[in-house]
Amino acid sequence: MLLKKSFIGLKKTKLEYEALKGELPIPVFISGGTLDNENFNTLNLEALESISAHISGKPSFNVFTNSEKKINTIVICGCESDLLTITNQYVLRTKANEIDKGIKVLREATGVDNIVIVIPSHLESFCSSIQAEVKIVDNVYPSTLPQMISKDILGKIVPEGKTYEDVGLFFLSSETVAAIGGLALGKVSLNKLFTFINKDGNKTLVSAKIGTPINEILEHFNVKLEDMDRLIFGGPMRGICIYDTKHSILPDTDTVIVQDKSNVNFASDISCINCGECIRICPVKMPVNMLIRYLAGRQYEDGANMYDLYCCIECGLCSFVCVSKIPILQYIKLAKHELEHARKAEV
Amino acid sequence: MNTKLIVSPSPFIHNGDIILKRSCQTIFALLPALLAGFYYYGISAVAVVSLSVSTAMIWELIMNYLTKQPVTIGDGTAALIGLTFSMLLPATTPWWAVLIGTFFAIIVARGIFGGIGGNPFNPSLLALAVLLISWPDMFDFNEALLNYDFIYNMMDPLSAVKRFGSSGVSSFDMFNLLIGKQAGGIGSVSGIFLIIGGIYLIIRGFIRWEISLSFIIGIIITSFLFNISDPNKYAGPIIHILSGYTLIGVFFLATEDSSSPVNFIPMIIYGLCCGLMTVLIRNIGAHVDGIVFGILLMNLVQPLLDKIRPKTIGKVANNYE
Repeated sequence: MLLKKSFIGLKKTKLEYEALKGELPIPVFISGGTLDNENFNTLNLEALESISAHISGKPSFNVFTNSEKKINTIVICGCESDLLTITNQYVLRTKANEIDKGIKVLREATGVDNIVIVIPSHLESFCSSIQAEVKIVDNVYPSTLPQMISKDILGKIVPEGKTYEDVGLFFLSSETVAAIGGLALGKVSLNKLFTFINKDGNKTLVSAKIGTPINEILEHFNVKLEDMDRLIFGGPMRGICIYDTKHSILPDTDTVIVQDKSNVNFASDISCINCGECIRICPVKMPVNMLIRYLAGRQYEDGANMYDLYCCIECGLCSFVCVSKIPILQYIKLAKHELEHARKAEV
Repeated sequence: MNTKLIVSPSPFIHNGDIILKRSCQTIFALLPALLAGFYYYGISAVAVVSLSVSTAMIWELIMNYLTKQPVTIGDGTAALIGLTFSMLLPATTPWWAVLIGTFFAIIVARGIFGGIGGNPFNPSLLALAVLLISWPDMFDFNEALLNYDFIYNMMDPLSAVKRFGSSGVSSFDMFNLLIGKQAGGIGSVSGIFLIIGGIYLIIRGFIRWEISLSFIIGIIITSFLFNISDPNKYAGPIIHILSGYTLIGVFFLATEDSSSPVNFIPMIIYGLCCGLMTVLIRNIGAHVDGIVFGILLMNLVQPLLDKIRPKTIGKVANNYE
């Protein structure tokens, strides 16, 4: 439904995350499996860092070892980072034991005592055995983005141009923590769990070995890709497009979406009509209508200085509601990229 | 496998609200008032409206070809401008005046500023202002509609107030004013249908309620102050709201997207000042109706007003402004 080209009435209703209630879906197993953990008896920071590329979610523990930033809270997201996906909620419901073990490992390895697990309200009953502070997050996009969690739930506003690590927060998904817990319990998982969304909008949980080419998964589901279709890694709001079916499943692929060509939306080059929809939907109250005028004219410096370019949390809601269908998020990402280039050239 | 997939930036979904839909919904909301105008003024009103809409679209097409831009009459905004413009005209407007009006609305007020979204003024109002200044007799509704055989009081209430003070409007029945039994523009006389259309647009979210509401409040406050200062000379708030271009201005002209502010406080200031200017011009200005110049003046201030905006979350310091 959400992937169809247009739907009336959605403008006023909020974009809600998919809620995994009731009966659990059974993941489709494609390949992979588990190995016994023989190499890492003690899971300290070095050990975690050395295998982080193979843990689903691909966490980076650099911030604990090679930086002066002081992390005082570890936030575990039991909620989804984008619409339509159910991966993290599934892990939270099935692997509470591993998550609890993972939290213990993290506590010992990093020395951070304050560990918060953020979950949507319908999953509260599954977290009773987890030894961490449980916080409830709103089930409306974009309240589960790291910047929004740190603002709304932890009361720490991330200043412009800074990352959430600068304010002392470290984010991990529940799947990552479960994988770390699995290591401690003696099993190394080679697999990544992700939500596969077919052309007709059907959702299936898939478990495949990290590195599996996407065409193997398409073959398994009998999906015929045609010209002009869209293949998306990640959710509908923040994902990226894949141009080749040989692309493989990565440790941080939470969602794979196949969008039929009849539902593909195109951006346009109509100028802004100043309707103000983006202003009203922006979660950080950015002056998007003015910013886009500067960015379209390549005045990136002015956009950053006067119209708060670096406050953007890149949720994509402005592009979602834009009446002129301007690719606003793309303009913002481009501006940040160009400014970064200019800065490097100066140094 | 050699499938050519689409690669494009996120997000990959859209809420389906596009310019064409907005234009169509606004035209739809204007239809009841327009049909009421047809009922009151007959076939010549149909002629004015048809000519206005069609010439507006033709001017847009000419502008597209002259500036070598993609053809944009498909988005419906040119038709909408032509429609709102014609609804402000008296039914007796000659054809050449309609042609000149739509020329100013589409080409001067919008085309040379860069097409859709670029207009600093409401195009329909700017065109009307040009006609109003150039041929003021055409907009003396009492004179213009002289040949119409009305069975009700056919005076223009605003010019009655202007000439005879508030006693001039004592003969008007408020209910007749509300349903449109007064002399005025084709689509701007039937207040009740304009209110219905405006509320429909507000509920569907196509116009900003803050502007319309504060506009009405501005008119009520200002006209009430005038009224208590000299009840014989100045009419009360209800006459001001139900007569002239007020209701079409409140719901369809002041709320035009690109010439009105988008932040909350600026919208309130904009609306209140529109109401203030309207009543000031009506009561102590030279013109009979203040809506046209009141809104145009506030259109001029809009970019400055929109500088008042909430602080962006996460913004640290602002050394620039």
